Amino acid sequence: MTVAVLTGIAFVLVLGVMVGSARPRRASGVSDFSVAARAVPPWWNGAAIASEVTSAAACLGLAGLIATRGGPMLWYPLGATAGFVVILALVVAPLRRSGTYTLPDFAEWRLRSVRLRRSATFLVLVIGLAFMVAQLHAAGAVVRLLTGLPPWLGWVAIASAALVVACVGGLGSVTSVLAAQFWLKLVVFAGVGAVCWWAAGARSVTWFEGAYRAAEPGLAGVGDPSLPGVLTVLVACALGTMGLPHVIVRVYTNSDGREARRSIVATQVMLAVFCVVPPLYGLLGHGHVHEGPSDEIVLLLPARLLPGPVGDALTGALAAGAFAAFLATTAGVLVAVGGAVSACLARAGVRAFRTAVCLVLLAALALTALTGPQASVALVLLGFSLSAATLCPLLVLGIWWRRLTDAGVAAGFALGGGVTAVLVVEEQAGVKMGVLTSNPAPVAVPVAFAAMVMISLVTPGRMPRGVGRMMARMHLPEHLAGPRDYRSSQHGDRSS
Amino acid sequence: MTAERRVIVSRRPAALGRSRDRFDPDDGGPDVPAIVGRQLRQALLTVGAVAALLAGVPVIAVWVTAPWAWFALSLAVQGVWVVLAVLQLRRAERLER
Repeated sequence: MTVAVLTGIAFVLVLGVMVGSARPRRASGVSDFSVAARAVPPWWNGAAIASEVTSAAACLGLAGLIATRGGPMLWYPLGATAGFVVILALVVAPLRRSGTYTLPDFAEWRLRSVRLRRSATFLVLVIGLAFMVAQLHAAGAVVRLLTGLPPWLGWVAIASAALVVACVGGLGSVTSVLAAQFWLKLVVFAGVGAVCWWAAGARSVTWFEGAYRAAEPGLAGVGDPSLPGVLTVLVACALGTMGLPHVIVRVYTNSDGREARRSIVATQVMLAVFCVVPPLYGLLGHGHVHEGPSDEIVLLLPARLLPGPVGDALTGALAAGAFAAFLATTAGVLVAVGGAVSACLARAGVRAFRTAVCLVLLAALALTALTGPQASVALVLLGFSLSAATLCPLLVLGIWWRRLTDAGVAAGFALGGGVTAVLVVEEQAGVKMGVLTSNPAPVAVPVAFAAMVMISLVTPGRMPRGVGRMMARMHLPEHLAGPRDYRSSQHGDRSS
Repeated sequence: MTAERRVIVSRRPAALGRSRDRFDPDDGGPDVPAIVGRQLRQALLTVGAVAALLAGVPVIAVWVTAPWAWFALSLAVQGVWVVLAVLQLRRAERLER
């Protein structure tokens, strides 16, 4: 089995690096970037977004949770996909028309505050690190489980491939890597799933229990099969999706607001197709795999159902699909966070971007080495919760409410982020405050919104000048706006 | 030059690169607050539908005990998200016309 698994992993990594560096379309200026941007049609960009969303958590973690915790976990995939309808309705077109590339850019442009840019960059960094650590841990677990090699080999493989993709190619080639990997993942997971279903067909399907029950939740309330526990997680996912740095940065790959909307709809369609995968594997895993951590159940399934060389080949294919997921999300997050950090620390440029990418990746590797193996869904959910409590109110109020002030946003960041951190820490310390706080979002999101609105109302003097012009730029469709209002990018845009 | 080809200019043409900072409905410019209001109403309708369904389906499932129905319901709601997204896209684009 080791040979099949290593071949699959090597194939995906080499493919990713080759696709990534075959078209080094690095933008050196505004005009280059626009050319690159127009070359990405909505369905291609939609596949790239779907690829970043279907990370280790979606491919391995959710199926494992459904297998071990039963029916209530079926609702988890609905949360993240609902988040895309919310993005489409509230965020995508105005954000694309604002011309700001990252969330920190948006904070600085909308509220004219460099300090807010720094706090937004910090939040983006924390969320991005949570996502990357989840991918690296999952990669280590796959390597250890299937080949017996030490986990750090998996971390290094993913990290170096993501580094090459981020540094050699620009955003254009990252798009092609991501889109190619989405189709690879879909074919592999759906194909192997169908074969396993057929193999298990002789034996009857063991349905899990379709009922809520009480159980001990994990980090950030993950895996709580009670009704309130599920609802808290759904709130975090639906609102947190809009603040994920790697999702928002993709919007910029389209040339205007209209195209950006269309790529979110394309993402929605592709995710709806992919979301057949976790319940399918969860159902099969529930019947046939009865041991091991939840992230590993999917990978153990083929060998359990089809012992022999066929099972080994299918396991190799699944390992390849899983590594495609890890690489896609790690590279996407790395490019997005690296761009945000480099713009905050130094003058925009290719060198600053590459330095930032290296530093972020080193931080992610250090955190992975320092923390014990974690369930991928829990870490991803932590990122969702923090994003829902801080960046979601910034985006929603910043786009739709003209009276927002920088003091209000700072208060919202402090309270939303603070409440999230306190609730997660006390949950880990073992202090129980009821099921509503097992995931921090249902408390932290209203607190953050209320803080932003109230502090903004009492500091009307801090409203940035030119709000009317900003609202016009965000909300007027391109054909109504004059050439001066439409800008495809900011001056001295990022190297990616 | 013939007299017929003369055209009387009743309105001063907009200069190239004219400042569009003033969005005054009287000036012929688009009315931004009205556009924002219309789009916001449409967006809140969609978000409200999403919230009702996202909270409603797990609650309704309390009274459904067949596991296969949970399985089917979770896949059906994914389809509903696609329908909602397409409807939102079409309505938002119609409002912009």
